[in-house]
Amino acid sequence: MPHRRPLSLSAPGMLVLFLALLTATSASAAQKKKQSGPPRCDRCSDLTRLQKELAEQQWLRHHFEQYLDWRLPPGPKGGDDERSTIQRMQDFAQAEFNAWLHSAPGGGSSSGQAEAATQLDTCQLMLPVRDANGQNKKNKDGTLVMRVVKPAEIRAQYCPALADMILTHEGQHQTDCRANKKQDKPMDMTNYRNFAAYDTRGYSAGIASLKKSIAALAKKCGWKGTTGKTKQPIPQVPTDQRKDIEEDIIPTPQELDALAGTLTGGKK
Amino acid sequence: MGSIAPWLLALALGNTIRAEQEDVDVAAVRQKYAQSCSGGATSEACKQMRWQLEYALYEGMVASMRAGQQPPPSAIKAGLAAEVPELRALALKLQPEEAVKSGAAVAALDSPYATVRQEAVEVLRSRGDEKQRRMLDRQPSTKWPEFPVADTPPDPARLKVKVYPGATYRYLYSGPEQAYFSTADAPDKVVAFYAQGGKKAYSASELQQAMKARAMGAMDQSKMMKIIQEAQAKGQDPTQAIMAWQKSLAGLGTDPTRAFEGRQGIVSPRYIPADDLFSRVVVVFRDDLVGSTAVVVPLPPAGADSATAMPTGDEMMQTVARQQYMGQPIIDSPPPEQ
Repeated sequence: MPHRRPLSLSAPGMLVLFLALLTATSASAAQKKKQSGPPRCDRCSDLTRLQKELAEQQWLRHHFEQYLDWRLPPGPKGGDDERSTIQRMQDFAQAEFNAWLHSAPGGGSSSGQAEAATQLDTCQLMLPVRDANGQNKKNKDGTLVMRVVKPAEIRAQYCPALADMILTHEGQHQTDCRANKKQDKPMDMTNYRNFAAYDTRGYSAGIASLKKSIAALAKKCGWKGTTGKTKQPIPQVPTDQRKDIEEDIIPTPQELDALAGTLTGGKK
Repeated sequence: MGSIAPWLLALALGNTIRAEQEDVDVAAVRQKYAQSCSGGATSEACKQMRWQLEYALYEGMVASMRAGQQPPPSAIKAGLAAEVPELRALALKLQPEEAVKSGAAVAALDSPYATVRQEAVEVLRSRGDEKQRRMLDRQPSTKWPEFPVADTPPDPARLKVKVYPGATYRYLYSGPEQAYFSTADAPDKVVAFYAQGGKKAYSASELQQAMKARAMGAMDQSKMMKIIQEAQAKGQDPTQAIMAWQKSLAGLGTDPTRAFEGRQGIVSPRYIPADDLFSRVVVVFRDDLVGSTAVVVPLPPAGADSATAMPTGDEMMQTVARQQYMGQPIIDSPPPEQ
């Protein structure tokens, strides 16, 4: 939760502000230099974010699971819709996912798109190519423009828990892809139900990896109520045990009170 | 990238979709919300801002608790009335006494989010009065998702019967296998509504007899011949026509009275078929556990209505292969590079 405080802009105040900005800029540059490399997610304060990520991946698995037995992919949008049934299913999943992210349980923000994939013919790991706005580029038939990558590139881009999740998800696809190639009668991957099965297994693997990361961090932070359906209250960890891993600002009761007051219209 | 990682136009096999977490400037959203959304403004923009603030409060409460600070009462109060399910469930967990006393726990039983309902169930089981605890016994045994997702009442195509005017869909007592509505009207009045147009309200034994008679109809050779001849006359496939007829006769497949007869709190259930094929049966009874009149529609498995024909041999083989495939072990860490 960012904290901003109003600054006085009197003449001496301006000087203080200038000096503060100067110090902050050099401090920020130093920090940036120090923090080059993948982003972090190993602080206790990252647990909430990782759990949100877990809920999102569970939502996606649940969505694809429905195609295994009863859900039908949406039909083509008019005669010039060149997308395959599988592409329509994937596009629909992404649209539904974004609608969920913009609803109450998604916290009303963020949006989703494909982060990685496995190539059908070669079982190679791939990344989508993005435009200047960070959106995935698409071909005319709706498929993503992709390029082959090494896991190291994903590790450089994401924090370890998320890199593990993505590489495990895609690792499951790669394992399944190679196994399928060895079959006398390989599964027909143009069948959307088979495709949904592959996707469901990928999400299951990624979720298993993420749960492991969350459990390890929760243990480090002394927090038991993370991945399981435990009825334990969230324990309060003494500050001296958290110093080495906790760096974020903790909101004060007054700040929480003010935020709650905005939501309740000031009624207490 | 060059020769090592050439740009490709490729068919992907399974994507990892994930959300880019957006940083929310809570102070700015707070200010905007306070300025433009006071007095319960319900615009889409206000709703989005409210959810962002509620989620920020949830994250803030969790962070402060880990630091050993108890969230202030105002945060709990906002949480108990929250729309964001994570915040509402946390507030129920943190202040169960307050949740019971203020009525927030009972109100949370009607949340569309199973994660909120289950937290309210825990609170009422341990701290609710006898009447409140009895209400919980009507829940069907359903495995709910671990993540917050809003349940929705079945759409008219799946329900296949009109909803009784003014009746409320009860998420807690509904599930994939039944839609449960409640109303303050007397059971006789509800039965009269569903029996309009000469439909019969059956007792359990009468319904079982009627369904048996319908099943006997499936054995009628002359009826079968008539369907074949009609299909041929229309240039249709007679095998498909027979399959469609047999499927329509299958109806619910099981005796719908089993879930209601002799069950605790269910008083004088009556069964009104929605059509001659018994594709749906409305069950009306006084529910002493919930304290109102219940209108329940047992539902077949999702997709059962849309399946038009028997699967082909190839489809059956694919299904078996898929089931075997889904039973294979799953990895839980990245595989070594190959």
